[in-house]
Amino acid sequence: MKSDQPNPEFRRAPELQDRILEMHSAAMREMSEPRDGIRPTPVTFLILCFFFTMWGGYYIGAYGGDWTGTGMNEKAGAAAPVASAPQNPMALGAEVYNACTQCHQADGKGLAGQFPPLAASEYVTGDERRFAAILLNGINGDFVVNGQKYNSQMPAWKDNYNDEEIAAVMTYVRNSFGNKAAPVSKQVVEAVRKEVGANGPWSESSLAEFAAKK
Amino acid sequence: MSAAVETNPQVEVVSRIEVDRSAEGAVTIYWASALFWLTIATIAGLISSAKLHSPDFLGNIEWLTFGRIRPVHWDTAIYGFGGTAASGTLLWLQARLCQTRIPFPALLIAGGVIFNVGILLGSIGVLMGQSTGVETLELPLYAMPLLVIPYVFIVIANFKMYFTRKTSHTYVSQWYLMAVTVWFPILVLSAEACTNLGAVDGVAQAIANWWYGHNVVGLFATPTGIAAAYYLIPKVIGKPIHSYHLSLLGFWSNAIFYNWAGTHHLTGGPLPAWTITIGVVGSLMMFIPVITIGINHHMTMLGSFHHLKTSPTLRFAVMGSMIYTLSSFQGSLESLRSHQEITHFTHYTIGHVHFGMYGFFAPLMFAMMYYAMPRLTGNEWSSARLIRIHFWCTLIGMLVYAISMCYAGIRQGMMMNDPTAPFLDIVRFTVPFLWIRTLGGLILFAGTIAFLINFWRIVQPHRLRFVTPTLMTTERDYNMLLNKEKELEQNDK
Amino acid sequence: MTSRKIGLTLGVFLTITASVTGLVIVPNWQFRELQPVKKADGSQYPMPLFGEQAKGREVYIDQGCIYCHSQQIRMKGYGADIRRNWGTRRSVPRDYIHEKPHQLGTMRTGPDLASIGSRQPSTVWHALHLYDPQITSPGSIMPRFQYLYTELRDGEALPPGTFEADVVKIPPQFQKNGVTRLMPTDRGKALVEYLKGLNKTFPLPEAAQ
Repeated sequence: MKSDQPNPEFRRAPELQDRILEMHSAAMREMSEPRDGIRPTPVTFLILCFFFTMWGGYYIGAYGGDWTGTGMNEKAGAAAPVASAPQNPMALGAEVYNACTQCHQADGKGLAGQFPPLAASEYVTGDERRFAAILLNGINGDFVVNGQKYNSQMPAWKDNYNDEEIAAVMTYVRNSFGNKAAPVSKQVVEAVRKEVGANGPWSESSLAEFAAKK
Repeated sequence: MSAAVETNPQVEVVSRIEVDRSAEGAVTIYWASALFWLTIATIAGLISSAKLHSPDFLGNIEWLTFGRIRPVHWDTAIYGFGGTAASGTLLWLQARLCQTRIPFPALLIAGGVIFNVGILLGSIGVLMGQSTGVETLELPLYAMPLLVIPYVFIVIANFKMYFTRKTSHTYVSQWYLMAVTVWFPILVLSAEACTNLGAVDGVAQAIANWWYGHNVVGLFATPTGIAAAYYLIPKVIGKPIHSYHLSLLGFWSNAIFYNWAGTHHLTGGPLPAWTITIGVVGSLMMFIPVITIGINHHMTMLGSFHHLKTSPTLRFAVMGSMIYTLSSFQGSLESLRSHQEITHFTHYTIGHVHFGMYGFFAPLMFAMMYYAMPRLTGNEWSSARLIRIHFWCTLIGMLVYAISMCYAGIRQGMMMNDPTAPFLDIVRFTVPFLWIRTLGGLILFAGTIAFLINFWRIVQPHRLRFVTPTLMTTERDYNMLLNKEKELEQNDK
Repeated sequence: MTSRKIGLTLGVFLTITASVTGLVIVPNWQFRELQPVKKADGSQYPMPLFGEQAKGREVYIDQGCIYCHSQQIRMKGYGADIRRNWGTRRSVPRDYIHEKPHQLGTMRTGPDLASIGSRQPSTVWHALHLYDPQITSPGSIMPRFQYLYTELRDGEALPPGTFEADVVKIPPQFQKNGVTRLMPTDRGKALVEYLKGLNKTFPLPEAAQ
């Protein structure tokens, strides 16, 4: 059927036309189908497009990395950022301590029966070598703190933190939650790491053995 | 030849009526399903939103745990609402612009039913824990054929109409409609093949996932929305679109650049640097089509803003096209590495998605429905007040949602990049904003209900018949218009 | 006329095939050479998951953990992922060669989990946290996964086929309705095994960049 010919049914019943047209008043009143205008494209916009395209080419060229499947740095040959300068141990320690709050909680009180407290704990304020050893290698199994028995795992942090960071969090914990003890120096951690850094997690007895050795 | 059609308004009206009559069943069923799924998606969204600030809300019901209701929200929104609303638009707009009847309407109606069954089965599957685990493609594989087959019908119908059209000129909306018709099946099939069917794995699968996740919005929702805006704005105000040349530039730059933008969703992740760089360039280059389309839409509107007062269609269409410009600018800038460092992984992304989907795509689909439903059914919208409620709820609810989430996201990202901020403090910081988001969602929901009531009334056969259009005027304005019309009539006599 | 119609169709077809080639096929081809590496103890990294851990991954997917937890570490100096101790190094494509479907995730409503097993090896912690996040993380907005646990009242016998060793004691101040102990269901146990196994700390050479 050609579009300029009305539907034959429609033609056959002229008396219906008015009714039908009324039914379709919405279609009657509408404007004709949209058309395209032919205003020219603004020249300034074309210039803008040109600069966008230039920028796109530059960005691909400059930040493509080495275009391999394992080239993770957008700037080819860029070195990994270097470690930052030493920081105030209490501030750095507070930052590192965010990783400890899962178990030992923000108030250092731990969770009764499951995770031991750091507040008023002999292991924290006592021998700094032993404390460093716990942080480096973690603990697995039964463990008594302040007369209460715990049985859980503590992760080894030796791969996650360097000596400075471990010393800082030790200093922080030894001087927070009501604790008061001397700050820990980086060298202590370094020495303990050298001595036992390759071992697995401690048990209560192996830790006691290590602490007694000295 | 079309010249005859264009010069003879009487004949053009008859051709319109025929097109609309052939489309009535198929398009109405798609749009009615769109509204149904919009309601479901909004409810699922509200539940997920409430669960984030009050984790015990409907707690301990495994079916409704956050990790299940959240994908149901997005899938019913993008496939249930987006898919059906866009399908209806594809059919009706293409038929109108080709001046052909819709082919095999019965098959298309059957397709609409199958599509709904597919979404329903898929969503229930996800709620039961059968999600595939690939974002945006969570629907279990058994539901996918039920979504693909109906879409194949639509593709065939679109091609048939396009290649047997009675007009000589292809209007810009049709380019977009044809592009969607070609893109979407390829998009879905290649993404399913690369993820759930396991053609690639690991990081390549993640890239395929986000290539799809971005393109389902960019190559499906966006072009449909733009096509609707390109049609409705000049149609309602009766002016030609600003510039054909700009349309051409906008269309092809959109087609070329949007495809490549998806990888910015994984900035900083385990991707080779070059894939992210290309994603950033693809996103930034989107400024070209966005500005082009913006000039075309807004310059056409210039001088006709008074129509916004009375026309519901135009209000939604202009809201959609304006937010298209804004949300696209936001999205382009968001892809930059320095921007992503802060806002990636935060609620900012969620804010942006809703700004685009509910601020741009959904209003344009509403505008399509407001325009076409009276023509399809022969009824008028029953209440201008409900339309007003729908409009203001959509605008205000969406702004409340997007602004609160984007602000919270920026702050959240800055706190996350500060290692001294304890993580739980960040969580506590976002909770008030999550409450505001629920409020925004409730406002949107109120608008949806208003639209539902109106839609329910308009599809009732011959129950409410008005011969005058439903205008968003006050009674005073209306009487004034009526008097003016009478005056003009008397003058004519 | 017809050539124009075909031109449009073909043009849009080409734009999408170009991007799927460039962004999916080419990277996948580049990753083909990525093989597991041998660790000092003779095992391989990364290892495909099997047994409990593979089952746990299914639970991770079906509970939709991905919508709040990512599994990818950004490099040093880009964000604070490493300083937050979410990982010791950036993640690289080789970490994920066995992942199907991938679970990279793009939201951090909760912390990143790429290496949760290295920073939290405690079964008890995971059990308590999944049962009620408020016990271990007050103020958390994570849902409670109570249905992954059987609640045991004081003196109540264990469900048949379970072992005393798996029982988790609830800290006294969080005991409600007389429930003092928990017995994880099979799924709960598997999920914890999966989480404990998540560890992307092995220093791959390409991750040093």
